[in-house]
Amino acid sequence: MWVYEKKLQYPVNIKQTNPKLAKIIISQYGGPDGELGASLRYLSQRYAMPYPEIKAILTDIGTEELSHLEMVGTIVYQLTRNLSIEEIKKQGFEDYFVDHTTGVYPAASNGMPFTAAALQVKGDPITDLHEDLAADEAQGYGQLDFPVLRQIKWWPKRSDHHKISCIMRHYTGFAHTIKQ
Amino acid sequence: MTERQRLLERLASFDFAVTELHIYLDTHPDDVSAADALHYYEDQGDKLRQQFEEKFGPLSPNNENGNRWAWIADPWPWDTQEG
Repeated sequence: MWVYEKKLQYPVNIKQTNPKLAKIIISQYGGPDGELGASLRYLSQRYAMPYPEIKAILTDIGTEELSHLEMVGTIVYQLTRNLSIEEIKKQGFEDYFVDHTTGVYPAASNGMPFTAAALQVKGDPITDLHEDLAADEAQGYGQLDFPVLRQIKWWPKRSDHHKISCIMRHYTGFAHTIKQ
Repeated sequence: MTERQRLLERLASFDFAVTELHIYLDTHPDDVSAADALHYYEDQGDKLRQQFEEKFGPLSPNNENGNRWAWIADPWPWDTQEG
């Protein structure tokens, strides 16, 4: 089970709306390497893990991804508040707006709705851990090259954290348990 | 920055340390210095959480303290804050 806390993992308080940026960031919410996919990936892969350390780590990381999901949803929400029709048109937000208005819909930047087709659960620990590394790398490289995302000060740090911690936790953690 | 925002940001930093140390300890349960650090940040976080909840209402549905309006009251985490 899970327990909710009425706060974000890190506070988000955006004053300047920017629907164009929101359309890019929403991929981190419901896109192929977004937080929802990350959470489901870890929480679904954990059943096949043979060691208690790895069950624990996938549970804890899968849980933390949900708090990331909430921060990203908040960013999208705050970037799209109180928009005028002119702003929506000028910033290329009409195609999103026609289906969802300013609701926060789990989808990729290109409009593809969230799909579990972008993640994998194979029931084999090594295969699944490699798939985790692939997803985190995709996120790191693809997004850091997008200058607009540097406007968010914690984004590069978060991505680095993901990459390093994913490799360290999953790989050394797993190797550590196998050695024992 | 309001008092509420200041406390939330500080609490976020303690809680982040707790979360990450907890994850590290999943695979390194015998690391005593990491466990000590975990307890330190948990203590600090608990104190601050109590201070926050006394002033600004419950962070957890279990801490309503008899006030059933407090949990549902704005602001929710995604609402923009004044100041």
